[in-house]
Amino acid sequence: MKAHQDQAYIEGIIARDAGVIRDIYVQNFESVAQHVLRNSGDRTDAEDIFQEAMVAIFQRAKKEELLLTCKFSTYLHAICRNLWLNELKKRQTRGVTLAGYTLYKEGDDSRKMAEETILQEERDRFFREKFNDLGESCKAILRNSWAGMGMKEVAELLGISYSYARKKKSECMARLSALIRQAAEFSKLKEGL
Amino acid sequence: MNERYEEIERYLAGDMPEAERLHFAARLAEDEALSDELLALKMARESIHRQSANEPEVEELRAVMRNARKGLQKQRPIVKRLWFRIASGIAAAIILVLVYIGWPINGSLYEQYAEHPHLEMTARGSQDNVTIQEMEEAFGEENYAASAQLLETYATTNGWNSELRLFAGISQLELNNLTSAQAQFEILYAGETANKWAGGWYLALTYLRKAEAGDKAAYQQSEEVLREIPSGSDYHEQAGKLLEEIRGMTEE
Repeated sequence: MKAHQDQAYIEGIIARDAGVIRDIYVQNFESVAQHVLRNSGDRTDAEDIFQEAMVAIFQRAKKEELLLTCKFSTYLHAICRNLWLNELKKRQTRGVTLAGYTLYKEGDDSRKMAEETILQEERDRFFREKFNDLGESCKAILRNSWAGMGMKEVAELLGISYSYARKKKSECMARLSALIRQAAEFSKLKEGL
Repeated sequence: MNERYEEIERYLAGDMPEAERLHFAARLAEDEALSDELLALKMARESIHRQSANEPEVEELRAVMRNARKGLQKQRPIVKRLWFRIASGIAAAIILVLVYIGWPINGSLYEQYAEHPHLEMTARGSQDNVTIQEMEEAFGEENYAASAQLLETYATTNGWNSELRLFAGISQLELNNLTSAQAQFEILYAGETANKWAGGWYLALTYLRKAEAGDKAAYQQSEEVLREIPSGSDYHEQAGKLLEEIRGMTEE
């Protein structure tokens, strides 16, 4: 499949190119802000949503090749609308209404791409939250060990014995596994495979 | 329990010999609980490793986006800019009056609490004296780019210790290299050295700085670390004060 001519925006985000990112802001931020303002949000919400959408695109593009098959602005707006809808759902208990909220404006390509990007963002957030529920020593052991560091080096780094580091790592994995499997989202993740 | 997770880890890391791998795969097909554990840890391992590896680049991206936003604000219509200037002038005048009459003004919480200890290192050998003096001077003069570089070079030659790690982390924190700072403080905080609670305190300040840069979830992470700092520690009192300030601010 041939990439859309706006693929350069994706490459610019991956390269953190200040000129491309400024163009993206100039061309898209105001319309995203207007959408958020019309749907119970303020400008700070719009800035947060815009930034999270850009980070979600970056994370997805770093994970796998992200081939743009629609206009970049359509793709970006679809992600922003979706992220804002999720935020509104969280705020529903505070009296925000979702009546008349339109998720997608345009064709199927942007919808599919946006949904895939949002799905990865939600999965990453889920694992990040569960990982952050671990203690600091567990996080340091697992993060370093999963980055490819040997357990002897990890033990040395943390100033603990090798045998304790190995025992602790198993305990940390058990805790993380339990936190993930006990969450309702885990069943959905299994279904999605 | 250890064996189960060691097996899972070796399977995920691709460290199992072929025969053992096949045997483990056969067990997975029969044991749903084991299969679920493997799936949970496989997905977590991939996601956390990727996010950690991408973190410095994501921070850089966020900084570029902040600058782009600032650029947009500068481009607003001239009438709005004029109003903004008038309003800014009035606000500045009010602040001056408040400062004059001694009214407490709250800026960044990080700035209020980031009072760093002096760097005074013990030389391990006479040849270290010059480098150590340079490090101490750079840190004392708040030339954190230089102190970060000197500390890193010194540690690469002589090996890391908790003192070097603490001051390298503070230098990175002041340079706003939050991922590098966090990595140093996490190691101190997770370890059992004399600087364990200094590591905890500075880890909390790193989260605070992240929160003030827009990552609101980091306020909670900062609070969690502050709560852990025990009463016997040098950092307990200031941790308690900062905790109250964060609570007061996030509850507003």
